Amino acid sequence: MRKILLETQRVVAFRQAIKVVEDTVKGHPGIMVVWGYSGRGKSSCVEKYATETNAVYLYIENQLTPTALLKQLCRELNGMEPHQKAMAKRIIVEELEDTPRTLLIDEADKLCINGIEHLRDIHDMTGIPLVLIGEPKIYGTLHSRKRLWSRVTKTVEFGPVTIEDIVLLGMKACDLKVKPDAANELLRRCKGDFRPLYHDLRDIEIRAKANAIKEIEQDLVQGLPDRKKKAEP
Amino acid sequence: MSQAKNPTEMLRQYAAANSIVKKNEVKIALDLTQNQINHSFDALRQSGELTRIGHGLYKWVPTIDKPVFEVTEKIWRAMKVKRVFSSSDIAQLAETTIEYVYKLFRKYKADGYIKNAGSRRPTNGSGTEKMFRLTIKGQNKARRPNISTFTPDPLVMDTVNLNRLVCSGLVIREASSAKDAIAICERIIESLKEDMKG
Repeated sequence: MRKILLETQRVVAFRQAIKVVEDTVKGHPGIMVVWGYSGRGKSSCVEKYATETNAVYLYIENQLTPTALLKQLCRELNGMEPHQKAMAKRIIVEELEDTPRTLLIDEADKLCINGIEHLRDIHDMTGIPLVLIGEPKIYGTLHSRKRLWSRVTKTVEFGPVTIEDIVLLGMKACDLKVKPDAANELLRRCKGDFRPLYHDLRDIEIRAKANAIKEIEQDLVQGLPDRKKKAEP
Repeated sequence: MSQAKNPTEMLRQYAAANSIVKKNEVKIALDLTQNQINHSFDALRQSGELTRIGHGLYKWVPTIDKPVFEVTEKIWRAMKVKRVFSSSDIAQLAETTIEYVYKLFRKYKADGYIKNAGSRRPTNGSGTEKMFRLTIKGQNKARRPNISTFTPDPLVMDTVNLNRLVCSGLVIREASSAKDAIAICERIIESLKEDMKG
């Protein structure tokens, strides 16, 4: 199974939205929110974007304090790690004013509200586009605060996996033609998540190779083992 | 000794040895025409080696970021984004081949930029694939993948240091400074003799 990033509708929507947010002349500069449940391809899409462009990518670890957040951001920008929040913020603002770069904050739902407010301050002071990526909690957190929500100019939802995604993934990653009924069965099994789908497709690819099959039928998918079977007494 | 062949190289050596330079001062010291001075200052300012800090006053920048090959830059960015990665992860993100990434990884590992971080089952084929992560040295390198540091010629540095010791009067006031000056003079003589032989 080849490692690929599928250009799904959500990925296309993300690219279009970020273009609007980054365009300070004709677009709508502001905060962008990318939200969706885990395994929907948010992080993969953002990682790819961060590799292609000069954007600053920050991964938020669990229970990250605002001071640690500013330190991490400062370190990412110029290698310094000031102990004081005010100092770190000043350096960040200076660096971003010199070379404006988009801020991509992955797992932003793990941030406390103070952390998000610090990021809003930086966004207000420098005008750089801020992209917050996280689980649906981030949407609620921002929506409930008018001061933050009024600055959000674009939102992109990473919804569940679709049948088209499954057919496309089968074709591009495994060179297999997944029939509509088999795709439906896979969709039922993966519950909209790319991770279980990836494991199932991997198993299917091995079976297809062993039996010299090029088209995937529903029977083959139904024969796959249940990975999360409850222990029987 | 690498000889300064053109006015820009002469100015580079002079600025690297003196840190802060004035246009007029350089003109007299290096015996260059006004056109040569203007051209050399413009060239070094464009490459980022000199920054203007005042009227006719310029500061030497010891390290500058040189442009990097696009794929290499993408590979460094991808390594920075992914905290733990395999060669196939980076190849996918940087849109290059696994073989090329693995070749670079061997070099980076030897240089201490990345280190092993376990292994996992690959997406393609059997066995396991090695996982890596950036070291602190690697994280710093990832921020500025291609830094170029210019070191002035040792003979130039010796001459400048001797000049400083003599002009500041230290050679007269302090015996240790006088000894240093003698040592520098000997080094200069040796170097000049070698050049004459060559």
